[in-house]
Amino acid sequence: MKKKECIAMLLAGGQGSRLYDLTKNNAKPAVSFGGKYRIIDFSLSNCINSGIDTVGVLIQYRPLVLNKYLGTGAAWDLDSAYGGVHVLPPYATEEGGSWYDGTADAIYHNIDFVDSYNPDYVVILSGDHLYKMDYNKMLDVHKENNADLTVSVMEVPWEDASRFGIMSVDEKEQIVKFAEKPEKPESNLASMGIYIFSWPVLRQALLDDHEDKDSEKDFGKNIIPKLLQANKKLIAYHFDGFWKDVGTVDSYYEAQMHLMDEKPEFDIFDPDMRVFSNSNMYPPHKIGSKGEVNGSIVCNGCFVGGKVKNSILGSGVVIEEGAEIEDSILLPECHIGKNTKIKHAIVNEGAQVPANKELGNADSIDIIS
Amino acid sequence: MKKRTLGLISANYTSDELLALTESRTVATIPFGGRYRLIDFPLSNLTNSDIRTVGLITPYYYRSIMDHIEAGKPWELDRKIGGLFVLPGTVYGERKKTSRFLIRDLIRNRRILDRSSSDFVLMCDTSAVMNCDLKPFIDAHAESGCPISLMYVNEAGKKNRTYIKTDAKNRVTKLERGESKLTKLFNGYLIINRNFLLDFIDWYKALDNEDIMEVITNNAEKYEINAYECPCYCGIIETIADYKKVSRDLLDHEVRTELFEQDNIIQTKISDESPTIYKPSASVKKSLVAAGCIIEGTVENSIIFRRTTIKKGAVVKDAIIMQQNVIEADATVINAICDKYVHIGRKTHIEGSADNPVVIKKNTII
Repeated sequence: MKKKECIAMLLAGGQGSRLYDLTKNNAKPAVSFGGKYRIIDFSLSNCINSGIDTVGVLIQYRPLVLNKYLGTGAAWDLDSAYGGVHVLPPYATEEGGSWYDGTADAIYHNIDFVDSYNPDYVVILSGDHLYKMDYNKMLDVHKENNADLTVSVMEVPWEDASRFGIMSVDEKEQIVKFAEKPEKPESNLASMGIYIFSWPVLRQALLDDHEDKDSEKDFGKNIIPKLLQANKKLIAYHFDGFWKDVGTVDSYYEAQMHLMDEKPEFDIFDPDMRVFSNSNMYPPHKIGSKGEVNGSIVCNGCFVGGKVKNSILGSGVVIEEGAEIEDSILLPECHIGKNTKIKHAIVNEGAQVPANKELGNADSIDIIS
Repeated sequence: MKKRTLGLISANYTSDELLALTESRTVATIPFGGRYRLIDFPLSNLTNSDIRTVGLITPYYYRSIMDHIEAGKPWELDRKIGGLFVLPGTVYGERKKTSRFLIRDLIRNRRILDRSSSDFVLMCDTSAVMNCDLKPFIDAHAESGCPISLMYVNEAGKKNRTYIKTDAKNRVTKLERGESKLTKLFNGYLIINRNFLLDFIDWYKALDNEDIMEVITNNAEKYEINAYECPCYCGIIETIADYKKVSRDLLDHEVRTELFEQDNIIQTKISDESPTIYKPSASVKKSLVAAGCIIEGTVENSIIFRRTTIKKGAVVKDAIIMQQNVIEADATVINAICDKYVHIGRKTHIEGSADNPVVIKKNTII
């Protein structure tokens, strides 16, 4: 059988409940970001830009928007006859059905899928992280070290370390200790939730973990500690670019506002490692004769009749005359009525905001739906 | 029974009237409206009207057009059933460079007409900018019982185009080419019954250097020809003045809505540009701006194509700035059309007049 050296499994079933209304109708990976993108675009683009052309996408929570968005995978060049995007929802068997009961469980239920490509390596990714990364470099490190598992890590500020899975490594970058969200961290090397496994090792680990009744079936909590215990070779791969998991409304807002920095840390504008997206076909945006745009990001299909300052306008946003938008993020297809003023807020996808309103407040980020 | 229609787009023509814009390309691939090329309009109109098989008569030098169309994916023409058929056009001589429907282009590609089982052939050129549902046109043609139908717009005074005179029942009584006092202007979209077209190219095979429209014009009284009024905005681009006018029409709210904010969408090649960034110093009024631009200067009454940079202090007014231009700091560009990859240096002043815009060639560095 034809063989794929490396395939990716993308975990995209999470709700992201701390994003409140932004994930009311869709999963976190399908949340809009940077005007024209959805969060999952970054991982999918990383895959194809790294030459990984087979991606299993594990879905569970509110998959409609995500499913429609993924389509055939053609938007990311992932529509191959052998490979491409495969959407993998939970399914029923002759023993009944169940939901994916943890990150490892989701992969366990798709062992057959992975086997069908007979890969040497499997990359496990999260569909809700923001970063640009060449997985090939990480795979090279994995191969050079003849590792069983390579975990991508980055240094985080010590005070934040207890929010992450923390790795302690020896002088050869071999992981000697792993602590999930430790109270007193021994290191500030945080796991980014990006793993490359040698497939036979992961396969066996998933089968063993499935039998363990006490296991939460989670990569961080169960699989990695067990592999460490079994003296498998775990290597840390240092990543020094931008990486972020936007878990809260505040961090979601901040991460996007930083796109407008003079030299943004997360450079989505760099044409060298393009981010692909499955956007609708919109015409160029139009700035009206009374429109004003300063220090902002504007996507195709917008109409700007009013004033926009230090804000992001997603695809197809309409701002009627007299409206004023400041320090805000307007998600795709929303409509702002005449003379409405919005400051320091997020307007949800497709929201219809009536005329003559004053919305937003300085102390917190409101989501206007 | 629903009649079936084959689409046939002729891109095998050019024009000197478009100056530098057609120096290295044919009319079909002239960039338009910030992110489109003229060929996008006929391709989208045909496919949006449920025409699933489209033959494209290419120019002899077809690099530019094939680069844009590829396998026809944006128009969903990458099909197992039907889809896009690339039909190589013949070399046209200097005298025939503006002819759209050369009989020999059809004779050479006769197979597509022979093999097709469709009743009608909808033929069009690439000079009309419109977003038009062609289904009512096809229905009207079927109902008329005529072998030929021509679509027209009401616009006087175009040179080198065909004008139509009709009777009360919208039957064509006379066709005139070139300067004419008539006002019903053929807009480049016609329907011919497939069997009639096959006979027609047989009859005239000795005159294969002729344009079908020339033959029809000279023999208008011989055939029953139906005329159909174009129901929507239609901008016809023959000259550089037309190009500027139709481009400026896009700044009009109603025209922009009619062309781009319908259920039927004008599709184009997707390039995955990042969004456009407006720096704090930007000042933009009444303009269309495509994706991937960085705007620091002043833009007014203009169309800015993809990935163009307008630096601080630069002023762009009444201009069309195509893909990947760089307008350096404190430069001024007024009443100009800059083709792709033009670089305007610091403090350079470029100014044309409203009637006579400056046209700057592709790759020029000033």
